[in-house]
Amino acid sequence: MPFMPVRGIIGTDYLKIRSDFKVLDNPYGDDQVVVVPAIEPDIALIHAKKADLSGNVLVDRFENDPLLARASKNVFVSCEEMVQNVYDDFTVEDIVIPSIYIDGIIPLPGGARPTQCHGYYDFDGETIKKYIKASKDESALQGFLNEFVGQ
Amino acid sequence: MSATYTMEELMATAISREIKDGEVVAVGTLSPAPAAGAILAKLSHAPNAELAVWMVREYWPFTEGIKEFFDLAQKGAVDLFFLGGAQIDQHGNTNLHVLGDYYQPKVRLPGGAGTGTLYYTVPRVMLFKADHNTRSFVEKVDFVTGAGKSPPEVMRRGHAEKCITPLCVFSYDKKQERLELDSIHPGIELQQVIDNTGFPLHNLENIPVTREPSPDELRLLRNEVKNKLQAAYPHFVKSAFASS
Repeated sequence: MPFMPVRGIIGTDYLKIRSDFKVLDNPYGDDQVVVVPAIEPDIALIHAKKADLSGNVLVDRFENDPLLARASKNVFVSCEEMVQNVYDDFTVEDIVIPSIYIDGIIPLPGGARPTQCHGYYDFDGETIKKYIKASKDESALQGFLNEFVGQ
Repeated sequence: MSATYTMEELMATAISREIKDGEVVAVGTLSPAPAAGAILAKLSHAPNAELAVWMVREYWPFTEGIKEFFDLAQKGAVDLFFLGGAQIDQHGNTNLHVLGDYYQPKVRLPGGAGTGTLYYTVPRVMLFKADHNTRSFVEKVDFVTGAGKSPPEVMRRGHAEKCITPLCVFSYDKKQERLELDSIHPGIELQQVIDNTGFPLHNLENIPVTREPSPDELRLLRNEVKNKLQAAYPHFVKSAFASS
């Protein structure tokens, strides 16, 4: 898909800062619509709840990861757990990204910290605050990374 | 009656009363007062409302992330949505992009997410803001993320109807294309609203007082609603509700 029509936008300041957003006459109506270019990431990094040995990946239904996987050229996944078959562990809170979209998987428990991985751990607000503070300065950031991620 | 409720409880109640039974009502990210108001409505006067409350699993029907919700709104199937902003101006424009100049910002904000499209695709929009001062309610927003009005050749299903703040409720006058004072919260003086609003207010005679939460509404907020918001808004839940 080369571009996507989007309702609204006209009347906002998006059009002042995004020269790649174009306004077209709707060929099927008498209104105007904005079109935006396709986003095709070279690489998507996704942190999943589970992945299996066939390469299927299980993520939370609140996430936009399946869409991200479909749009990206290469998709790499870290996950909390490796299992035999993600479909055996599927619950109503989950959605599966089939292996055909996936290029690589690494088990990495805690990989979404200090943000959240539903069913495993919650947001860590204190650490996120520390990161925001440290991010203002290169050496402080390095100190934070050494402490949080390790050497 | 003495004020035995919190400002958040009053705002949630004011929001709840805007919701009609049977409506499809959606609440986006970082919207604790609208989430509380929507759930309160569902548990009281609007049992047939269909809710989609972001991060509240019980009330989020979708399985394909936020995309499915945006698609539903484009279709015209979402009746009511809530928009906030770092700044809101007299015309109902909202700003979630930057404070100051876009290319030399004083503060870079998180961005608009769905605001730029949902303001047009959802017929009823409620604005809300957790603070009310002259920095947040301004004459003109620094950046228009959500447009209060738009050119006639653009499809638009509705506009802002109300704007709920800790001091008052504004309503949107479609003819004048501006926010007008609708009611003032109990215990708040008119002058306080004027002093804390960065744009001129009109028609200031006989402004009613916002109705206080009823005992039933407070009981629901402090028990069922609070429990349902615990996972999504742990910080809000700690301070927003008085003990019953």
